[in-house]
Amino acid sequence: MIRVTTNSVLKNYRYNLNRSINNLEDARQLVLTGRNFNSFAEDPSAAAQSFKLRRSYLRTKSQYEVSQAVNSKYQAAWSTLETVVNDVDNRKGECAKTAELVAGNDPTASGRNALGKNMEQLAEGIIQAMNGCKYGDSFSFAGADGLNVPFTWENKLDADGNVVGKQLCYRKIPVDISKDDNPEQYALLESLTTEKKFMDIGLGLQEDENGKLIESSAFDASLPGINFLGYGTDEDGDPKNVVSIINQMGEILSRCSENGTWATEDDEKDFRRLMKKFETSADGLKVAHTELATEAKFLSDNEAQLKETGYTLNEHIMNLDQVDTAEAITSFIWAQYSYNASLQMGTSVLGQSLMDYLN
Amino acid sequence: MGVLGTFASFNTARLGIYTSQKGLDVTGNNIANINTPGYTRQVLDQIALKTGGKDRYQNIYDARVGNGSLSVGISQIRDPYLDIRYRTEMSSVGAMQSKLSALQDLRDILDEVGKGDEEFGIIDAQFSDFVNSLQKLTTNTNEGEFDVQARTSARALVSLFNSTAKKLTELYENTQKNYDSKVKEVNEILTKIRDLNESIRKSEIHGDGALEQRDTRNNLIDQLSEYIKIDVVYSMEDIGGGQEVEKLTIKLGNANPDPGVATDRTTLVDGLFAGQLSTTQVPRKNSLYDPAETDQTSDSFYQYLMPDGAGLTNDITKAEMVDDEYYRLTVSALTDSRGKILNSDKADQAKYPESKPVELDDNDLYGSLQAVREMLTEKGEFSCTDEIQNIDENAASKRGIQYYQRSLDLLANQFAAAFNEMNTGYMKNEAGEYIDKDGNSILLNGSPIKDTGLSADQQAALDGYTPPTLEAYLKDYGGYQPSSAGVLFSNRGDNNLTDGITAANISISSDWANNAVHLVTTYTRHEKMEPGTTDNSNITHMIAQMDAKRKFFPKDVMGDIVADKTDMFYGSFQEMFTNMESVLGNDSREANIMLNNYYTTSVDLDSGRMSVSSVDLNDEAANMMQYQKSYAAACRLMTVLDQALEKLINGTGVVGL
Repeated sequence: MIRVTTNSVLKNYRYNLNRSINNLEDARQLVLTGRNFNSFAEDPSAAAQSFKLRRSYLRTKSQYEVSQAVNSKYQAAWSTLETVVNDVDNRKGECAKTAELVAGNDPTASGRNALGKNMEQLAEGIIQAMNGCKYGDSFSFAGADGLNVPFTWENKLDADGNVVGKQLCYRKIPVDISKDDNPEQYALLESLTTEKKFMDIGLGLQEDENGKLIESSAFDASLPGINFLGYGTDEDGDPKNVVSIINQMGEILSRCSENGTWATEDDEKDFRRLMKKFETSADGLKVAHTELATEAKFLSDNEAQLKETGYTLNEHIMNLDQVDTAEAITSFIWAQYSYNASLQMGTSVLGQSLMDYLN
Repeated sequence: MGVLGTFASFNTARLGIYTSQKGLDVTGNNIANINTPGYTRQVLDQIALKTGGKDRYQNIYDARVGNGSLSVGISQIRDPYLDIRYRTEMSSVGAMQSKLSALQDLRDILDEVGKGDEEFGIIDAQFSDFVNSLQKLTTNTNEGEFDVQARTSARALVSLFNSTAKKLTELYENTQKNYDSKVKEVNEILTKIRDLNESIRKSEIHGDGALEQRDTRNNLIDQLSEYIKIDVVYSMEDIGGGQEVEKLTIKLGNANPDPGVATDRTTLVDGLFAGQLSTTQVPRKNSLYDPAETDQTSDSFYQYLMPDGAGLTNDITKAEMVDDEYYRLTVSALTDSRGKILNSDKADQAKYPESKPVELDDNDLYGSLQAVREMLTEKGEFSCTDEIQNIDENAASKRGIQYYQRSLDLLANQFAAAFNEMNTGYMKNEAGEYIDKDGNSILLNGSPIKDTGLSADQQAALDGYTPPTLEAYLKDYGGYQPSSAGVLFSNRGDNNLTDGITAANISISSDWANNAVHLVTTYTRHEKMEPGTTDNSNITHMIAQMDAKRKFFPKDVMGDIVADKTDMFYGSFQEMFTNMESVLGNDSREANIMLNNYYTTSVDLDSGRMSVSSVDLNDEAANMMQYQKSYAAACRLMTVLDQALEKLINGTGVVGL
C-alpha cells in the first residue's frame, strides 16, 4: 500500500484543482469568444480549413463586386444599344427605317431632302450614344481601349488629299475599308473585333503552365463597338456598318432637289441598293443587341450565384469556427460544476488528522 | 544471576527518557518543516543498548538484559530510484515547457486565428485586400486612383511583413537573453551544489549528517534536472584515517542519440569540484573563404579573421574567437571553491588526468536549456548541408525561430520576385511573340521568341549569347518595356534594388512610390497599334498568379548551402503563410500533448517521492503519542526503580526496629 502523506495529498489536490480551473477557463473561452478554436494549435486542420474558406469568401466578395461592375457596364451598354436599335428601327416614329422607307417611296419624295438631313443627324446621334456609354471613366464600346473615345468622324480624302466628305472611324481606323483595297488596316480592324478584356467574375480564373490565361476561366468584358455596328465593305463596295449606311443614305437624300428628285440616277440606284444593305446591317445590330442581353442575363445570374456562394461559404465558416452555443454553455456549466466540486473538496482535503484528536 | 550495578536500571530509564525526548524532537522538527520545500522527513535511528564482555563474577546461567536504548543518529527517508525517475522526467518537462513557451511567443506573432477585422486574419487578409485592389483595377484599368489603391494595399502588406519580421527578430533576441540567463542559472546551481558538497563534507567529517543541507542540495539537483538531463551518482570517498565520506557526482545524462559521442557523459560536478557552462568559442570565419583557392594573395585562401582587423589567417590559434553561432556549450575544467582544477596537482596524470574543458556536441543536452537553444538554432528545411552533416543530423526536422523567420523571408522574397517579374516584362504581339517598337517580331536562331518558352535550338543559341539571358537578348535586339514597367518591390524604400529581399526589408520600390512605375496593365499590342488603354491582361495575370500554386524552395533565400534542394511547400502565397501557421500550430499542439504527458507523469512520480519522503501529520501525531507514552513510561520506570531502591535501602532489614 502506498503511503499517502499530507503533502502528497496537497500536491495532487493542487494539480487537479489546476486542471479543473484550466478546463473551466477553456470552457469559458469557448463561451466568451464563441469560437471553436482560438489558435492553430488548438485545431490545426480546422484553422487551416477556416482560412481557406475565408480566403474563398473574400475572393468571392471581390468577384461579386467585379461581376456587379461588369454587369452594370453591360446593362448600360444594353440600354445604349436599345436606344440605337430604336434609332435604327423601331418600326414607328423617327427612326432610320421609317425615314428610309419614306424616302424610298416616290409619293413621299418631297421630303427626301429633309429626311436626308434627318438620317445624317440620326447617324451622328447613334455614334454619340455609342461614345456616350461609359462605365466610370471608361468608354464601354471601346474594346480594350476604354480611355479613348471609340468612334470618331474623320474627313474623307480623295486621292489628291481633298476632303470629299466624312467617314466613320473606330479607334482612328476607318470602318468602311475594304479587305482587298486596304488589307493592313482591315486586319487591324479585324484584330480589334477579337480584342479581349478578361475579368475574374468567379469562373475559376486559372492559367496554364505557361502562364497563359485559360480563357474559359474568365469573362471577356470587352465590347468592341464595331462588333455591334459592323465594319468593312461588302462585295458591292458598300459599308457594312449600319451608321455608315444611314449616313450615306442621308447624304444621298440630302443631295435630292427640294421636290425630291434624285441628284443623279446613280444616287437613286445607290439608295435602293443601300436600302437592302441597311436591312441586313440593322438585323445584325439587333442580333448583337440580343446577344448582349443574353450576356447581361448571364452576368445577373452569375451575380446571384456569387451571392449564394458567399452565403454558403459564410455558413461553412460559421459552422467551422463558431461554437454550438448550447453545447458551449453546457460544457461551461459542467466545467464550473466540476471546479466548484474541486473547491468543495478543498475544504476537506486538509480535514482532520490524528492531531485534532490529541488531548 | 549476573551482577548489575545498583543504579544501572536508572540509566536504562534515563536512556529511555533521552530517546523519547529525541524522538519528540525529530517529530517536532518534521512537523515544523512540513511546508519546507524539499524537506525530507527524518526518523530517529534508535538502537537497543547492550553492554557486553564478561565480568569476573559472571554466572554462566545468567539471563542477560539490555541496558536501554540509544539514539545513534537521524536519517532521511528517501528512495534514490524515485529521484532518478523524477529527475529524468523533469528534464522532459523542462524541455517541453521551454519549447511550448517559445512556440507560444511565436504564435502570438504569427497565429492569426481570431485576429483582424471580422477575424479574417492580418497578413492573410491583407493579401486578399491586395487581390481585391487588383480586381478593382481590372474594372478601372489605367485609372490613377485605382493604381494608387493597389499600391497602398501593397504598402500595407509589406509593412505587415516588416513588422512581423521585426517582432520575430525581437523574439529571437529575447530568446537569446533567456538562453543566457538559463545558462547563468545552471552555473549558479552548479556552484551552489559544489559549495553544498563542501559544506556537507565538512559536516560529515565532524559526524553530522547535514540532512537539511542535503535537502537543499536535492532541491537544487531537482532544479538542475529541469535544465539538463543529468545522471546523479553517490559514492563513498576515502578521506584517510579510515574515514569515508559521501561524494556526489553529477554527469550529463547520456542524451545524445549518437552512440559514438562520449561528451554527453561529461562530468558537471565531482564532489568538491564543479564546472561552468559557457558558449563555445569558435574562430571567426572568413565569409570569402573558398577551399579550392590556391592563391595565397587572395582573401578567399584564408579561413579565419584575426582580432582587431589584423587580417586573415589559416592558423586557428591566431584567429579571433567569437561565440558559436549554434550556441553550443563548453563545460569548463572542474574547479573547487578556491579555483583549483581537479587533479591538477596529481603526479600520476595517467591515472588521475587533470580536468579539461569539454566542448559539448549539439545533442549532448536535453531539457529546458537545449529546448531554448534549439528554438534559437534550428532552421528546419532551411538547414545547411554542413549543419546536417556536422552539427545535428536531425536539423531538417527541427524548427526554431529561424525556421519561421526564413519561411517569412521566403514568402516575401517570392512574392516580390513574382510581382517584379510580372511588372518588368517585354512587349509582345497578340501571338505572344516579343516585338520591337515597330511591331516586328524579334528573332532568335531565326524564329520569333515566344513567351511560352524557347525551343531547344533557341535555348542553345541563347546559352551562347553574352550574357546568356533572354532579357539581355531582347534589350539588344530592340525589345522594349511599357513606360510604366519597373520593379514594384525592392530591398529598401529609397531604391529599386531587388537582391536579397526579405520580410524585414521588403519595400515598395522607389520608382513605384514616386509614380515613375505603375502596375503594367498589358504587354500585348497589335504590331501596328498602341496597346489598348484599358487592356487589363497583365492585371488579370497578377490576380491569377496570386492564387496560382508555386513551389517554395528554401535555397531561394539561403542559396545552395541548404541541404535539401527540393521545395518545402507547394501552394499559393497565402497558402504558404497558412502553412507556416499550421506547422507552428502542429508543433505547439504536439509540445502541449507531450508536456501534459510528461507533467502528469512527473506529478505521479513526485507523489511517489512524497509518499516516501514527505511529512504526514497522522504519522507525526502517532509518533508524538508514541514518544510521549514512552517518555512517560521511562519516567514511571524511574519512579518504580526509585521506589524499589527506597524499599531496598530504607525498608530492608528493619524488622523489629
